[in-house]
Amino acid sequence: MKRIVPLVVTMVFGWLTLVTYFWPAVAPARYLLVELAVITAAFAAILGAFNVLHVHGTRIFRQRPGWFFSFVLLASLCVVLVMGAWEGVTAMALGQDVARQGVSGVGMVWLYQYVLIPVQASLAALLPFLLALAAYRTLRMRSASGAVGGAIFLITAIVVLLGQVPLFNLTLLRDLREWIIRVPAMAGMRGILLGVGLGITATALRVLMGADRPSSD
Amino acid sequence: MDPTQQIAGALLVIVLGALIAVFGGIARAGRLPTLRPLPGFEALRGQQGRAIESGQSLHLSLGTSGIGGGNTAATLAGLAILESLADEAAATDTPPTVTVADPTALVMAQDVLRRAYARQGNTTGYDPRAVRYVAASPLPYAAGVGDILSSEETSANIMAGVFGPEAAFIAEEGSKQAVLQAAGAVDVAPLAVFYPSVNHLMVGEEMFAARGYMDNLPAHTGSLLAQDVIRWLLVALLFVASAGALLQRLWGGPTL
Repeated sequence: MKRIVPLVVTMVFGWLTLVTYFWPAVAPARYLLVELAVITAAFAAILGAFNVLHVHGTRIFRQRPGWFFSFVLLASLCVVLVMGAWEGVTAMALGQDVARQGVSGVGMVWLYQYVLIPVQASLAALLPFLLALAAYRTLRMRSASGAVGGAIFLITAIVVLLGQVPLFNLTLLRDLREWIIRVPAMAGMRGILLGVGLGITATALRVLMGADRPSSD
Repeated sequence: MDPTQQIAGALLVIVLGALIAVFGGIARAGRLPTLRPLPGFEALRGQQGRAIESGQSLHLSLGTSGIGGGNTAATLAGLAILESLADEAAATDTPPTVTVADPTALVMAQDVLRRAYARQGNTTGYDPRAVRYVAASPLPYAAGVGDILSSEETSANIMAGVFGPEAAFIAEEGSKQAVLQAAGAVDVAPLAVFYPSVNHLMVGEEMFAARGYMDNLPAHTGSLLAQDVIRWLLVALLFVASAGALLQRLWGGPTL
């Protein structure tokens, strides 16, 4: 019974959701199922918060390397949680929309705008340097195929980047960049996405046919 | 979706489903086809054993997707890799470190590990902290995983799921720590980011072939065959359509 019930539930709900895409008349069933999934995911988010507390609490308690970062993480979690709750309660006292005010109050927006966004932007700004470093390392690979691949990778990246710079108005580079994006890059991308699409469909069908059981038994 | 897309989609589902059933049956009967070698999975085989010998753990990143959205299949592909590694890990009490950015993936990954420990009769050895919910958004997730790779003894870094360009942080940290890296993603951008840093890249549908390669499961092997048949059909269709368009342009005639 423990094996059959999750399997049947998965198959029935899965087929029902799939059918709604081909038979629009039953589409409302899909919206209902999506709503159920959202509610379930909300419970999973609570479990996620407990997991963070459990993992980082242990790290702090046992003074493992990097425990201070765990402390900062848990302190930030508490600050955001308390601030969100406080703004929600305040909104409730003023007769405002509690759910909305809890996440878009003055304090939460301030944290988001002046802490989260700048930190994430700084991190994202490091990406081009990381990629350049990685490409350079690829060029230094000892195997011939690795070196050739790395050289193609680097030359293509340089051409595409320079072709985008309006500084010198290099028509040839711009045209070359256009061609690279439109022909070889697009062809490769479509081939990969076609394969991914087939992989996704096959994975979904295996679950729907009961051949795969990702849920507990 | 317009009616033509609906019919094409339904046809694809029916034909692919039928082929999976047929080829799965053939594989179950023992007539397994020979699969072309995929270096990524060849490298993963025995990696858990090596991790145990070296006293280090294996890291598996499931990316930013979860269960319930459009990227469910990618998460399932990552979980399939975890399932392949979990039994050996449970038998030797050396769980891999699994990192997720979606709480639904957290629950599923914990379940996969817990089941593996139960199969090995070692339920007390299961530690839910082996699966870690790092962050909810991509950049903090990548930074958090990078920190895990740099501060914990890791023998291999496997990435399978949905990633963005921020995956460069994870792959770079893996390179810096000189650990074996295998990565697969459903989008093209992270594949380009992974290419310079990882040892084995699982391109496109290769990520979904984990259990067919690592565990030789008949349903999965049959599914790979079915995908190949459909792929050849699509290639033939594209070729015919392109040839038709070319002929039409050269000699004129009705538009395809």
